[in-house]
Amino acid sequence: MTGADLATMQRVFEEVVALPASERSSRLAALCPDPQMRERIARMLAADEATDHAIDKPAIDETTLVSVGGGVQAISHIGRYAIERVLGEGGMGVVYLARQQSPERLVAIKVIRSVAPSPDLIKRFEREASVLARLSHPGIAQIFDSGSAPIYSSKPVPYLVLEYVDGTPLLNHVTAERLDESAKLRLFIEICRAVQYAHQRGVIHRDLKPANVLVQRIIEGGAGGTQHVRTQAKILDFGVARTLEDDKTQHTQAGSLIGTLSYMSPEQVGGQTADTRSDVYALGVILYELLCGKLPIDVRDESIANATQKIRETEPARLRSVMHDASGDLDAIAGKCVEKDPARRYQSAGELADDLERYLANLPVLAQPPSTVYQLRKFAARNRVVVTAAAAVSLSVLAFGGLAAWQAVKATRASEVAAAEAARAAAQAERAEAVKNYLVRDLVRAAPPGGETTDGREISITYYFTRALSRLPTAFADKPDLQGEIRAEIGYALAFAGRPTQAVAETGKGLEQLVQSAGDDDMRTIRARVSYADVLQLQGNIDDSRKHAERALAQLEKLPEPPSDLMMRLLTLLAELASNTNRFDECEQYLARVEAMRPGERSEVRLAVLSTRAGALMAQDKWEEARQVLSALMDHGDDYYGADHPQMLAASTNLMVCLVKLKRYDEAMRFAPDTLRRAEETFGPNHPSLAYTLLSVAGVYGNGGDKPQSVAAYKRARDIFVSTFDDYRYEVERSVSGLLRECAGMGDQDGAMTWSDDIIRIRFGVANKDERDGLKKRLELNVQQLARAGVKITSHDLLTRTIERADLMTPPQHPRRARTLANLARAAEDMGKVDLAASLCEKAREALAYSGSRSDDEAVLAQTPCTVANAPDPVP
Amino acid sequence: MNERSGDITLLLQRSAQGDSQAATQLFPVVYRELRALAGAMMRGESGNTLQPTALVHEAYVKLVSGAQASVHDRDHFFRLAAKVMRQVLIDHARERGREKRGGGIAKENLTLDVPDASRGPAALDLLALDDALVELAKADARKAELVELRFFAGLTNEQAASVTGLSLSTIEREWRFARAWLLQRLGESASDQKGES
Repeated sequence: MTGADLATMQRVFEEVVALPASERSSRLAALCPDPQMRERIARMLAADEATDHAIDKPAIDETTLVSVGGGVQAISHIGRYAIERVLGEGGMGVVYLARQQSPERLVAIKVIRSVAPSPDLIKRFEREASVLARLSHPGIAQIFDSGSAPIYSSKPVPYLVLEYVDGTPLLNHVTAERLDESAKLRLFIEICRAVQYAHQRGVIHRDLKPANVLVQRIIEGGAGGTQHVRTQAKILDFGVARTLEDDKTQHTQAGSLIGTLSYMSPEQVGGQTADTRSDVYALGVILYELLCGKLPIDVRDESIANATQKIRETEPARLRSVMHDASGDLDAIAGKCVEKDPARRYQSAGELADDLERYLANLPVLAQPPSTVYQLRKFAARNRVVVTAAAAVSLSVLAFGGLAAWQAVKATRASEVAAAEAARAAAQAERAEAVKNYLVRDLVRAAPPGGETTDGREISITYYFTRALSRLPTAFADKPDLQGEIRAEIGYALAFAGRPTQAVAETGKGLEQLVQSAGDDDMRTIRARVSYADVLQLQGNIDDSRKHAERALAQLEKLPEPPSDLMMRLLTLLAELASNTNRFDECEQYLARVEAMRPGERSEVRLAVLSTRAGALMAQDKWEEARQVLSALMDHGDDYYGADHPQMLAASTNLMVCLVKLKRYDEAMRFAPDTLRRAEETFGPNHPSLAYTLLSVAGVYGNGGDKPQSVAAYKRARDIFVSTFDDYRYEVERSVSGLLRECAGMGDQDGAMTWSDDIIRIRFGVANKDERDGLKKRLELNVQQLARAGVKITSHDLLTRTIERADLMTPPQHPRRARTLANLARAAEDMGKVDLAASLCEKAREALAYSGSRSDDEAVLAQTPCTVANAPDPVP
Repeated sequence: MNERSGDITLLLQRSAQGDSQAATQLFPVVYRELRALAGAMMRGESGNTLQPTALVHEAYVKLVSGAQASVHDRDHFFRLAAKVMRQVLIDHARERGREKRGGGIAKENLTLDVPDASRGPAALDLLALDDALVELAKADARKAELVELRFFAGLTNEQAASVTGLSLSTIEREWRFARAWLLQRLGESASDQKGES
């Protein structure tokens, strides 16, 4: 039959079928001379009459096909969880809100939509889920439990029990709260840190998008009636995509398409395996959206195929093209996230977070290709916060050079000094020009080579300081005095950049050059000597510092009119040196001399005087007097120096310490929120420096009897430390110890148990082979604390419990697993549990393959004669 | 299956543009998915109801899930899935036929088991339907596809109109004709068989 035949048939059929039944036959005969076709059409007309034929129903229907996918059934329980209501339904399954009895809390239960999961799939799902359950980070919605239960029919269906996050989706939150750029970035950095945490544990999200990040408001209240509201971003569904994969079907390939296309990296849409850098890509897209609501590659109105092609082939829009007021740095950072080639992106979410923090601190960012103007801007913007001395070197000359970037700098003390020096330099135009050229060429242009250097802010500064220093001899071959002057200034700057040793070496060398070329009594030499004394003090070399300071003082005193700025700086240093060596009377004499020179009320000298005096009083246990000085400082300090001045934070912390010493706990606690606020303002919500302040604050609350507040502060400190460092850090242990102590004090048995486990995990994961006694002591200490909480347990039982949980404490491929297990084995052996020790050793050996420091761990393991259990018992 | 076949969306788009190689690559992917789903359902392994449209939706969610599919892509997926569903069911019927032949049972048992008696007077011989569709497609592919969408993918006329982009009246007209044609053709082949035996 041809198409033409069929078309003819249709024409005839349609004409005839439209007629009343009585007229059809004659009409058909007239239209269709071919008897065979006529017969066919007649039968078609008959078929057309026959309704309710099988062909009118779908080939398969509800009587033959069933699935969980058709709708949400009303169910009352899943396992031991009582269902409250349905939270949502999506491609992956149904999410229920459920209530857990013990501990009493709301949870979200995600029932995986899967048709008849095979036993293999369920097993695999449970394995993946147990890995996810070990992710414990404030920025990640916790997976509490997993399992499978016959929910919809007799066949078990896998489900995940998750932390219920009652929050606002990320983008709604930033819009509703009208967050400014830096608040958005701080929130985003928090998210990056959480992603980094999971990445370090081998879990990739694969489906990061704003809808998967909820922002929660957390209210922390204390007994003092103070309430602290903060926000916490929580990432949902971490690694959940992976649990749904099944090797046997096409899900693996489909899995790579699970993510929402806009946030998917080119390699993901290309069907390749997602790795941590794919998550970095998604973070980059989120960053775009967060900052300006636009996407780097807008594929929302595209077909899937066009979209995938676009993602793989078109260049993402620069941030600046969609957000015109974006800074060049942000543009570069966002651009680096969404590079097509994963190798050109940030290699981890942590790197991205670090660079954003550098951006917020006005430091050069890694993403930015180095250029002179760029580096100059960074110097300029930073001078307010960092390195006065660096500013002194560069500003003195560059201000003279008339560079616009520098003129934009706000008038700070540094630039006032600089202006004075610039005026002097004006007399020596030629010299200044030479210095400017040198600075631009060797100091500023010498940016870190792209990509391969540095992850610390100090290093990027020190990098070009160091390079500039190496060029100094050739740049000013015939001007050794100038060499010495610049070297001493850069050396001084290095001390503030966190390089005290190098600072001492360079400043000393500069001083030596000046002594040789300009002479001992030259003002430049004296200035360099004061700097040298300063850096020696910072380094802790009090004796040498004092020697040089006293010598400089003798030289200045010989002058009819010594420059007062230098004099005050020197006297304050001498006061501090005296205080450091417990010569408190002398300290006070120096301070009085500074005050007699009438430093401006608002000057930093004044601030330094009061701080030094308070420090001296504290060192003498004169807590009340110290408190008065600090109170005076606090009363006016904010107006003078700004609440975010690091010295003000120190003052407020010290004041808290004084009050605790005076047992004026209530007052100390009144200062705690303020100190915390200062620290938050100075460092942002997730900075390790804030965590140190939190530790002090937690101590204050603990002493003051506000245990819940203390616990909250310790918890925050712990969370920050965990997200910043490896969670096997001393700082983490310290926070957790505090948590154990306070929970024990409150009689919170669950909390005490939890944190006790955590300390043991940390302690056993870091102890080296010589810390055998430390481990035993730790167990005994925990037993004491637990007893306070009302938990009756012997150290023997505590160890047994720990051993039982050994697998849970460290996931199979965790780099600390070998060490933890080896140490547990040794502790078990000490307690006479020889069989346990042997089995732990066995596990530890298996874990060596993943060890982060294999030779160390082997040394620890070698200390444990694990073969004892297998050897025949010696005959008594 | 090479890595590229994982790029379902791209294949989908290419095949929508008439790239037969893309369709060839895509077919087995969708086939396996639908077959796995349908197989489980036929064995009654889960406890809720599902229409074939929902089955195709399910496959769609699994394969293209979350990606920002355009309406066009989704339509094409449905058209493709309808073909795949046809294949799944035909294969299923063939397998059962083989099993039953092995057990010495005659060919008329090749119809799809339909336990529900209310299903209508005429059971369908799926293999004969398949043959008839092949013949119909040679003369008019659009009509054959419509049958696939209606019968194998379970779409209503309205859904079929939306998926194909044709007007509802065209769909209704085409379906009425195709249905009548198929039934007369099936009646013909049934009587052929009777004549032979």
